[in-house]
Amino acid sequence: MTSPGTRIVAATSTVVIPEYLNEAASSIITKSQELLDAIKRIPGGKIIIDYIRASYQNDPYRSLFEFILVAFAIRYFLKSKSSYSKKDYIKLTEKEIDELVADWQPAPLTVPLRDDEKWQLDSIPITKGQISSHTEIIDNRDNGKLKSVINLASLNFLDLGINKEMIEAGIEQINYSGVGACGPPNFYGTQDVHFRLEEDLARFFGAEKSILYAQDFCTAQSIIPCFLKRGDIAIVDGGVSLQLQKAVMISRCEVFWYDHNDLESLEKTLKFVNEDFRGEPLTRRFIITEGLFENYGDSPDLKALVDLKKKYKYRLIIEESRSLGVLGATGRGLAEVYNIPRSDIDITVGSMALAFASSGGFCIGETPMINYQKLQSNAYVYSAALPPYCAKVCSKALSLIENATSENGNSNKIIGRLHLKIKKFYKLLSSDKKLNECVTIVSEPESPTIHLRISKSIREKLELPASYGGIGSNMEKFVEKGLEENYFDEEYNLENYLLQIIIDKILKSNILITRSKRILHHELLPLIPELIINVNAGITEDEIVRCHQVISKEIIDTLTNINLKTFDNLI
Amino acid sequence: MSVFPGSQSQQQQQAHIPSAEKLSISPTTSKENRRRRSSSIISHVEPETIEIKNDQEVLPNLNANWVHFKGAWLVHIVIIALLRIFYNLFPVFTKEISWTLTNVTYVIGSYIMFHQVKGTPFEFNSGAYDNLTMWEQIDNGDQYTPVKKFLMGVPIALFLISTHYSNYDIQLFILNFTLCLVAVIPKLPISHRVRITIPFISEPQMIK
Repeated sequence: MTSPGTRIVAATSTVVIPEYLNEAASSIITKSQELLDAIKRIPGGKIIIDYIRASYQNDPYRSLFEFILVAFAIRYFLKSKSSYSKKDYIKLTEKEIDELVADWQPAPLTVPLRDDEKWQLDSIPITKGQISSHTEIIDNRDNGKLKSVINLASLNFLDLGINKEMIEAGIEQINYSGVGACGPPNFYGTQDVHFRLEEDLARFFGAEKSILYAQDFCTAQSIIPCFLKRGDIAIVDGGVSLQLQKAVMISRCEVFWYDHNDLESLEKTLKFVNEDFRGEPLTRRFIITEGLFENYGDSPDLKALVDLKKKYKYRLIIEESRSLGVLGATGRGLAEVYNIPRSDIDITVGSMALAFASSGGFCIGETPMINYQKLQSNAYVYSAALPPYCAKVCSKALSLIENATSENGNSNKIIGRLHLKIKKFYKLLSSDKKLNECVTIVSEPESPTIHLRISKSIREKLELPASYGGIGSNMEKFVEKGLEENYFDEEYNLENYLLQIIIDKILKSNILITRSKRILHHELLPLIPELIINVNAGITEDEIVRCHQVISKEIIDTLTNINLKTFDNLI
Repeated sequence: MSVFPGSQSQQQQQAHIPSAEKLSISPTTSKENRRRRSSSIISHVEPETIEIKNDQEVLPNLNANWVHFKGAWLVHIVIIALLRIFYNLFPVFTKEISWTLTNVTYVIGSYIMFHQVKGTPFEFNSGAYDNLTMWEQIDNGDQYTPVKKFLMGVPIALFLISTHYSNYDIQLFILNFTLCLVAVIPKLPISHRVRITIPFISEPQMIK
């Protein structure tokens, strides 16, 4: 039951509250009217008012959406910049910076030379005059006396460096155009002789087109990053030279190594990669190997290699620096040995500094591939062009070799002369039983560079490791931390010193051979020091017999007498 | 014969070093280090390694830097005006429809350009930007920068204009508003490096 009093209160209250609200509402309306008038007075204000009025259109929800959107936009515009890229930076106060600067000690530019590696500097032969099959060297250990030696250390295999026509061509070109190209190839650096050489190289090797580089060591390092990028795949032989190792490293691609010159291992790797990357985005895939391995002196079976690359749909890059001008009856390289058209090799990289006795590197292959390099290859775009006289001399070398080819095209006088010497030298060395007990010949009979390793039994006797450096070794851990300067492998140094002792002994009989001079912390792959004999076309057969006798005698003398104790105390 | 002080375990280490002929080290790259696609519907692009960051800084990113030019700002306005004029040429389109079409074209075009295509068209950084959209490349991923504010403002303004001139037809409004969200949401800091895979429709996204 409700009393009448409460009803009255309720009635009065329903009357009073609307009146109060009305007042408030009317004051809000007048206030907002004033506000609107004020906004209208601002330039452009009328448009905004009209816009809002027009957009309202009795649809408050839509207007709410728009209002929220505008509010969001204003909030976004008012936010100050926030850094994503520098979010892991450490912020240092002024004081901390000053302290760090005060504490800083400049590191020495080089680590001091150790006593036990000084011999390396002393052992560098200084030559006088032209480098050819017979060279004069200044003997450091004999008061700088001049000494005429048979040079088995030079890579000038065909001995074209002392050819009169070559020298004349070089002088003529220097008289005509000076010594430098004065600019990158795309920027005033290209002259007529460069075009001629490009045509000559393409014709000589049976390729569509060629491109010249000023420095042979940088050629592969410029070409490979030009075609292989992050995410691409390179299947690389596990015995490639330093320049290819660095080239695949700086290209940022995925690198898979297969056992050196082992095509079964290659096929296993190809299968593995194709399986493992199934469903991944399609990338460029290359097999990278050498024509004549700089570190081993052997060659891959090109025919099987081409079959594999076709079967698994890869492209093939072959670094033929050592094999062009040397392998094949007319010096056309590994492709000629296996009778494979040059077009089956997608990219061939070569050097003009070895057999062709000039300087610089080149690449041969299909026209679009070459043209792409003209815009994308760093060494071609940014560094100075090959000196014109080098181009001229190389053209001359090619024409000399071409002119020496017999009419039926099966043999070549210049190349044949080298092959004969290689065959003879290799036969003498390989048939020397006593020598083969001391050293192992790693290289193949066709290789002009003969690699001799201390035999396994002697290395085991001297407690030397199976190989130095490489993936998983101590050296790699130092390199990863950037401490490679602190790493010094005493055994590696000692083994090299042992080889140098042999070289020095041989040098006493006026024969200069060399050894593999590889810096351990630069190499990614395992290696073993070797004695190296570079057979030269300019050596006579009698000299070869004498060289063999001396080399064999000194190696046997040194290695049969050595034992662990004397070896450890060599230095 | 110690190699270096502190490398006592050298003899043990050498047992694992392969000989020079037999590497037995391939494959050397493990799957963790490799590029890969995401298997989940929503994923984030993983932060770059130090090597990739180095490559990104080798050269200025020409693909993303042009947006800072005043002309590049102006061209958005010019393109919108041209689109509007273009759609006006067809008598069948009413004013409402042609404004909506302008909005549709601009939003879809800018979505493809800023949020769909990844990487750079020219090769300057060895593929260091291959996984990032252009929006993520602008200002190296910094947020609330002037150019990002401008590019965020354009679709919002275009939406407000087109919904105004489409006379607030409810269907066109819904269409325009959805498009506005398509343009705005990928630009938000919360969407930075987010990848969405629609099962059975789109391919899995590269996140590494």
